[in-house]
Amino acid sequence: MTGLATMLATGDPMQHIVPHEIFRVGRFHFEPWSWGPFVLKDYIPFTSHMLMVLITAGLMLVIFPLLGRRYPMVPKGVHAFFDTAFEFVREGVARPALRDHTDRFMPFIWTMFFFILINNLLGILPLDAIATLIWRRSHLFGTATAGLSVTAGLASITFIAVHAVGILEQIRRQREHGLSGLGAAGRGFVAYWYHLVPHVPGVLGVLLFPFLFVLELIGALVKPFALAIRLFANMMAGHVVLASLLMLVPILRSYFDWELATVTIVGCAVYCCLELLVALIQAYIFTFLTCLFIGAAVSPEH
Amino acid sequence: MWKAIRRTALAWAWVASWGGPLWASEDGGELLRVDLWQAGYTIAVFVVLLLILSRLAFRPIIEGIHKRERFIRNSFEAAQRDRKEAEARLKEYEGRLLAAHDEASKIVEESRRDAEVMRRRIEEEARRNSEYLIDRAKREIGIARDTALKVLYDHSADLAVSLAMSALKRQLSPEDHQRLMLDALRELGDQPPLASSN
Repeated sequence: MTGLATMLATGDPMQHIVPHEIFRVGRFHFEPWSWGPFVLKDYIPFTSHMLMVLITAGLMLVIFPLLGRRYPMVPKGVHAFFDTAFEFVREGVARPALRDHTDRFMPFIWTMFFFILINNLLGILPLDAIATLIWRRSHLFGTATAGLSVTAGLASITFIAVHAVGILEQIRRQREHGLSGLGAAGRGFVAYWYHLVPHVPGVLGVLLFPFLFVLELIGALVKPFALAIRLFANMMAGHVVLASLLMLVPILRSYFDWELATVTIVGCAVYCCLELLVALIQAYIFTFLTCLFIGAAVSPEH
Repeated sequence: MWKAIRRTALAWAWVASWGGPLWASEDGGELLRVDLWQAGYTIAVFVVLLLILSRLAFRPIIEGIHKRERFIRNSFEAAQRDRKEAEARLKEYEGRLLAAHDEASKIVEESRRDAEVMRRRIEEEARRNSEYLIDRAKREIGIARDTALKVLYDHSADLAVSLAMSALKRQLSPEDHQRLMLDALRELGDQPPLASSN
């Protein structure tokens, strides 16, 4: 613990949050581009967050196919544990928002939930500290969901999925009304954007339509933005507080010997439990809001 | 106390000074910047993961869950059917039990009536038998009395004859004998019966 605390004390608490470049891939012949918070570099930086995303994907590719190979009628042991999680997401998160459409979207919802959850949980594990102690190489690992780029990617997936599902649903409805081919696709596309705006009867509705449409478009962009910021901020803040508390340990020890330092370490352990809860809650919230958005897109009349 | 608080505050200030601005870090990884390569990479990994897991994991899992739900639904429906059937059967058996109870009461009542009838019949028969026995006894007593009277008459006649012979000192002819005996019997028949014979 002393080693870990000393190691932490020599660094910057933000270093445990931000993505660190491990290696670079390629070199493109265009100028690096940036607009607002968005950056496009002329090379692909393989970062610690990308490695964590890859580890998460690897874990999921190992665990879930094994679970699905022979899914038992009465789950026991590991199956029972994951079955509880599957049922919780299906019945507790997706069903209230998606109702009859639930099972259509469950692969997407499960992937989203477990992807975020495993990333959050891996972020709590002191993988980077262990790697530093073993290989003397720091910043290999981190918390992917404490990086805005990763959460923005996830929110983009939700954004694309919500609108794609909504448009496809409208196309399906047009087909039910006898249209086919491009006609159905075009009318479905227009119908989706038209139905984004709440119906206001009369002339007032016609006058308000452009304003409401613009507002709804802004709302459609704000929703994934809020998703990305919420997940990023929650995961980042927890880790910053934890790292800061741990960094206090050697300082407090130098002033007060071990009394306050011990209290801080115990506080960190308790805070880790809180982080565990935050990891679960954030995965739940992200998935639940995704379900709500998809539910609203599939049933615009609601 | 104040010294400790001041030192702690100083320590926090020191830690805070390390962090630097939130939006930039030393390694060039900017906290509030969205690197499109990383975002795109996340999207690509997620999409590939979704495609693979949908086919290899989540489809069999959801089929398994559906299968289990169907099994539970069927079991529930079967249980409900069985329950309804059991309830109907219970009602039927309760009805039967009630009917059997009524029938048993009827049988007991009937048996009681039969027993009463039989008791009366047995009593009547016993009474008739006893009366018959009494009558027969009376008849036999009457016959015995008549026989005894006859013997008594005969003996009395013989005695009278022997008394008469002694008195007359002569031998009576059979005709005299018969006439005397008839007279004696007539006289005896005119007499009132003996108190003991009644």
